[in-house]
Amino acid sequence: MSDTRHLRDRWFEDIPVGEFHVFGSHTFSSEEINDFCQKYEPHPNQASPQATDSNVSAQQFASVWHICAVWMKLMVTYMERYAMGVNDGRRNGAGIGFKDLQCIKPVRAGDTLTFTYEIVEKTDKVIRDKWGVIRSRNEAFNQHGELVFSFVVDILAERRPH
Amino acid sequence: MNCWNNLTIGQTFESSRATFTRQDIVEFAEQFDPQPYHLQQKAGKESIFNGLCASGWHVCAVMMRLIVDSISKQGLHYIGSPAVAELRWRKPVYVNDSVYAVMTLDSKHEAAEQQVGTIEFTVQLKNQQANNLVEMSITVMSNIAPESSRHE
Repeated sequence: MSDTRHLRDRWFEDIPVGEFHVFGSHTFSSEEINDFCQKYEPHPNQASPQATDSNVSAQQFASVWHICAVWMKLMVTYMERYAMGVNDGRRNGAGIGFKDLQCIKPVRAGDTLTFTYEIVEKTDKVIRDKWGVIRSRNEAFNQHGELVFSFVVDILAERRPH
Repeated sequence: MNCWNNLTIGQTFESSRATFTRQDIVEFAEQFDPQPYHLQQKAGKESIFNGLCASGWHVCAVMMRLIVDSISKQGLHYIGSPAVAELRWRKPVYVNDSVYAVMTLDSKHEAAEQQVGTIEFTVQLKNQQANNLVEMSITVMSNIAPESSRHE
């Protein structure tokens, strides 16, 4: 198990394509969905005090960026747990971008999402002589086991110094 | 006037501006992205970013707000964003940076029976020096009926 105990305690060269992790789960409350939407993605329908459950279009759903932010929190928590005591750059790989982000089903209050991560590619790119790029496919499933959200993100990992 | 019909391919919109305070940056990071370079000046200085900077997801969230406000200003009724084909974080957002979005309309489609339209935008987020911070291709849904007829 020593392989998986120190996820970020590894150089780029030592991280295998195909590695799979479950970052954890999060239940989206009505309050947090509303707070995030009001601040960053106000929907006229949702903001209306007349909105009721019988009006389908008025049902609140989580902002795509809220789902991304929760993914980030779960990833940081997960990685920190496995990288205690690593104080060099290896534990702090920054994201440089993503592609194919899709909201497949709306995420509503009370939904619990479970986030998975799979390394799908290590690109040949070298950034600032020091960083390699780890490409992962990330998915979120709801409490019914349905895929609701996915994206492919590029994150830097420090290359072994020569 | 039908706001939807007035949208033209290639048309650009410039959003209003938003400023990132230190408190904004740290609060978002504490809640969603608690990595040292988003929380402390010193750790930021020592990191690849060379300064305390906002979480990339915080930048995305603020960019979304600028986009939604711009769409509303066109008289369109924002519904949601189901997809982002691609996004690149080009440069960090530092404390007190003031940002704005430049949106270029790439395509529009309508599902008339549902009164819903889909728009694809290329978006560049820029700072006060007009440097590109983020580049993104996003799909946005809006109501295609003019505001006035929705509130009859």
